[in-house]
Amino acid sequence: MKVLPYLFAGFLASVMVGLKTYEDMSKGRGIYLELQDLNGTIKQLKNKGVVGISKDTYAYLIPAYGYYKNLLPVVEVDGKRYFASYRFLSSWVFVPFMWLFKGYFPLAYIIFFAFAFMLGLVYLMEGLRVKPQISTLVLLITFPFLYYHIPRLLLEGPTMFLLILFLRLFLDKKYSLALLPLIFASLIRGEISVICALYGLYLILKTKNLIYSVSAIPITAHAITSQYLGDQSFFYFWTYRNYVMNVLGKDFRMDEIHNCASEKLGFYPQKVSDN
Amino acid sequence: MEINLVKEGKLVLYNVAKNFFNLIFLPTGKFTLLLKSPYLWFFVVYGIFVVCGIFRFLMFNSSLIPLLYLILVAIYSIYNPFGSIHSHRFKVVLIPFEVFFLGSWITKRRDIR
Repeated sequence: MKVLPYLFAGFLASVMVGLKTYEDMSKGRGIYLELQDLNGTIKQLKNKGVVGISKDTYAYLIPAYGYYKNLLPVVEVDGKRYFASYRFLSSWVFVPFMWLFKGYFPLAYIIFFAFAFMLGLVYLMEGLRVKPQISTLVLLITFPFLYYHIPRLLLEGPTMFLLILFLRLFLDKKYSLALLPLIFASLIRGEISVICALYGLYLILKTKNLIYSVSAIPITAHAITSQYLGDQSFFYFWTYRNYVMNVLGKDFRMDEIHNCASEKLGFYPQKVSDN
Repeated sequence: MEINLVKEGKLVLYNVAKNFFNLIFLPTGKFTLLLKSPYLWFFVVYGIFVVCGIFRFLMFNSSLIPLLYLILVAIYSIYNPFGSIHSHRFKVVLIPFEVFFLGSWITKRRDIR
């Protein structure tokens, strides 16, 4: 009986991936992404796309390509080397899949995190000693929130999987170990670094051990990156855009924003494809 | 550019409160369709269960995890103070916490700290 929720979670993950792949392939998107040179990769992303792609994927894959080729977020275009500064802290999550599955990494990524997340939810509820039937019901209830967002080349899948690991380790009273997935999640998404720093503070107060101040590393890294390399989450950009549009009632031209972002970030995919 | 602190402060407070509410109860953010679509009522009922789960958790366990959850909701709420956020996308990151609260409500385990 304990296997039932795991089987059901596997089934729901297959449904998610299947529907997403079918939907994207019917739009002409492929399951293989050319990784020989960056211009070819960007051209394919722009023209044809790939399974699981969204607007944000574009920004993550440029530094990921740099990591894949050079072990650093540095990309070479027409003999010149560029530091792909935008979102380079988050992009590492794609790299193991690129190394292992080469051009088929988009499919491998969405399959892995769809299954990891759904099975992780059951694992979390198992830790809470919830009855298998109830676990199955909770999976069914949460499915409408998840099916659209999980099987995509975005950061939600890995972040949530790491959050599940954190909660399960917390339940098992492995408080120190629980910090580890939280640190990794913080290096993927900036907002989790706030949670990580607070949890670290809780551990410091609880154990009086200053070793847990490592929890402040991700938030410091995000702060320094945003300060010196530009707004990594476009927080100020969206705020300013909505201020101009909703408060001042003026139009805001997107190409102006793109140029501004391009100058601020130092490297922007648009420049590469224009060459 | 002249800034009207009172007027814009009110707008910010309204948007942050609306985003906070949307994140917990109505991730689609479509109030106007609420009465027409039973699908949206599903989200509202789910949100009510989550809030009950949080209160139940606070009664028997520590306040650390609910605090972390609410801080995360607050961070997402202030993401766009002059407009709406993609609450359905941010909601996904909150799901592990919400499953944790729902599960801890249903379970008989009382040693969670």
